[in-house]
Amino acid sequence: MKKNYRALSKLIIFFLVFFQSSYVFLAKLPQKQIAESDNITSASDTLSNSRLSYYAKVSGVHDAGATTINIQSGAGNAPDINTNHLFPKDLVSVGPNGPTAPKTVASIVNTTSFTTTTGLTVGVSDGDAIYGTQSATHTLAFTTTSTVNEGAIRVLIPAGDQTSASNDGKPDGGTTNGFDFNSITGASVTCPTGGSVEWQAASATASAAFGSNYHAFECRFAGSLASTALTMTVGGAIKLVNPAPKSTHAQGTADTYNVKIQLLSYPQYAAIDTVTVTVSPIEAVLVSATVNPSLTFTIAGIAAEETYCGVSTSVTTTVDAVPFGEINSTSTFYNAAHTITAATNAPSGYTIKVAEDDNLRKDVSTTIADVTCDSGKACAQGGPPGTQGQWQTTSTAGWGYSLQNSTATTVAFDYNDTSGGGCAVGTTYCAKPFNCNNLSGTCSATNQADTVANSSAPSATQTFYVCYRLNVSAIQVPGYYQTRVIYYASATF
Amino acid sequence: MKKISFFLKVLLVFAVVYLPSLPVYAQTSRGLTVSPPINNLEMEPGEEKRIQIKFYNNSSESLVGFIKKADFLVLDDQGSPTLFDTTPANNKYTASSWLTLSDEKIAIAGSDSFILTVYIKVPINASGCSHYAAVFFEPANPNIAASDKQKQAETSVAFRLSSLLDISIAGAICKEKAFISKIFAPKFMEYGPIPVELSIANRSDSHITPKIYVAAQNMLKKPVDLKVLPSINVFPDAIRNYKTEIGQKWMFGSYRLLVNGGYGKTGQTLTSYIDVFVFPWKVTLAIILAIIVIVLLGKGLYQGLVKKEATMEAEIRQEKEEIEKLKKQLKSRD
Repeated sequence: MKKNYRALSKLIIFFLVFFQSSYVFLAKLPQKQIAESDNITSASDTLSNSRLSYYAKVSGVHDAGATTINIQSGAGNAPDINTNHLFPKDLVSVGPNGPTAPKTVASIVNTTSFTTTTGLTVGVSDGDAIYGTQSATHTLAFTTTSTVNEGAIRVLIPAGDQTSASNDGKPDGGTTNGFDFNSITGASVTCPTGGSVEWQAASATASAAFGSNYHAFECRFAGSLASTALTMTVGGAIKLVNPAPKSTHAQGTADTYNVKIQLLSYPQYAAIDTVTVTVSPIEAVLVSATVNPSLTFTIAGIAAEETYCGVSTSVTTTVDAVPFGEINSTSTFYNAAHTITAATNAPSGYTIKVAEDDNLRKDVSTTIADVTCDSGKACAQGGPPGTQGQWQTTSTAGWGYSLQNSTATTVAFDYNDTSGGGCAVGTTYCAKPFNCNNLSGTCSATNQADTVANSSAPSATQTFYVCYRLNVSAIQVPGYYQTRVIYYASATF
Repeated sequence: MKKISFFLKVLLVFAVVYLPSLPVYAQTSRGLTVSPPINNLEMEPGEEKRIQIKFYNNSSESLVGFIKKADFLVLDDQGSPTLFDTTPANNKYTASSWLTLSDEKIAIAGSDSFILTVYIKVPINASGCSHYAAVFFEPANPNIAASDKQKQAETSVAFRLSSLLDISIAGAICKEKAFISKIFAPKFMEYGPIPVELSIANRSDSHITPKIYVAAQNMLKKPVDLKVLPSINVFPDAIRNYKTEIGQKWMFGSYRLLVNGGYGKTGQTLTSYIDVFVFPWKVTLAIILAIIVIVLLGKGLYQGLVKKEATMEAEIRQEKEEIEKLKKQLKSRD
């Protein structure tokens, strides 16, 4: 009895294992192979432009010449019910005559209206279509595994439906969303190369002719195609039109479309391997910035014992003062300097002028004279412009300035100029007195501010140095002498 | 606790003794940006308008100063504005009295900006075509301590950063008259390109922005080069200079430099020309000398060869004669 029981148990276990294995082998495995083969690998579809097309409807009647276009905002009226996905410079078709005279978007007024750069050629009615197409080349990369003789590669791209509406060049969105065929031909499809087979010309079939909600693009080959990495492109001179938003679309979230890549066998061209890849068109993001016209002027102090204008500074300057301090030595040069920089994006460039608002004065009648430079190499106030001259002799007392260019387009003169005014060969310190513009005193001679640097074009930061020099004679009346140097910075007119 | 207290006391003593002697550095850099640097406006007589001018303090420390207005004119040939605190007499371009500033004394925090509102009211009886003014920021004067004013010399330094306003009166009937007051190029040059300087004098009621080009023609009146000059403003009753270079390094013969331009709303023209002769005489002279030397050398060589040939022919002839003589002598001996 026990023996029979064991034999029965073994038989039951045998049949259980046998039938399970048979079911898996005969039913499940074939099903998996037929449905979605993994024999096409490393597959992708890259869109050259993943922006969704725009499709809205006109709200109200618009006469010919109108440049402000209003759109319907009611939910479900159209794939797009606001202007969030419309940007300046987009081309849009408005109304039945729109495709023949597309308009350029000038600006977005608000969420339901926008303006165009030119007026409507023909008036439009309420509910007429407004669309802006976005087109893309599909670049499909994949690797086949199965070996096929005389077969084909077929790409199936989702269409809105199987009617001519999926092949009219207008974006397809809402409930009939998909890529519009846009009358593309095989000439705009590039078949793969390589694989040691002979590739034939591509064919393109719209969904209406293909008989399903897919546009088909096929490349047949002669020869035996083994496992190969291939690339095929759909879109050339003519491209598919990207979909408008789906009816379930949420702005900022991509709509997804499944593209199929198939390996077909000869002679029926039935799919033996299929892989599905996803493409996800989405709205674009408008990036904008406004660069304001501007002019920047900067003045910086320079420490003592630095070399500018070929001499060592003896005084530390601050942004608002040149403190020569106590003058203990006569017939001695006291040197100081400032760094001046200017930058502007004004088309006409910049101008910097300088003047003292009074003589370097102690009281009504006592001043330290503006320098007239060395004997026979005179400099002078005047003009503007004044005249520069050589000032290298400590026996020449006075107060004046020189310039050292660093990166400025033009400075009025340079400290080592050997020509111009009294500066000649052998000059190592070419100087000038400040023009005195009488703004807060009584100048001994009154002149307008003198240009020290300028440019006639936009310029990045340009730098030059203004070097101040004071030399007091032995008979100078003691006391506190003061004046104010004013820099005038403006755009060149 | 006692140790901490002692430590604090020592620290306090050091602070009192040494801190005042540490150097205190003044601000070393001050930068200010104005935007926009030029405001081009067109207004009707009696019209009112508000514009905004932004001053941005690029320094880390705050900046206190004054906002002022002034008329400006362009007095030089570089287009640089000259500001007038006191309007010159008979300034028909004045506009500063039309401006009202929202603020006159401001403080701009470090790395912060201040937006100034300028209210412009054009008088109903405004005459002329264009009016010009400037709005500028000027930092407050530094205070100099009375104790510092002993036996010292000091120069305080200030700046005025301006935003220019150009107000055109809409509908005004404006005279447009400008001409090329100077055109200069060297009469003779060894090599190109040819430097050209020209000046445009503007006698219009308003500033103009001429579009000018210089074309170079060769002796056959064929164009060889063309330079478009930058479009820059010429202030009314002012002159503006232009400089350019035209042509290539290697130029030969006479060239006519034609200046043509247009300006104004009524399509006025500017035209002038200057003739320039370009001839690389040093190179030409060197080539001619080289040719002469080659010719002379060739001639000398040729003549030498001819002479040598003649001499050789004579020698051969003589030798032939001698041989003939010898032959005859041999025959006679036989």
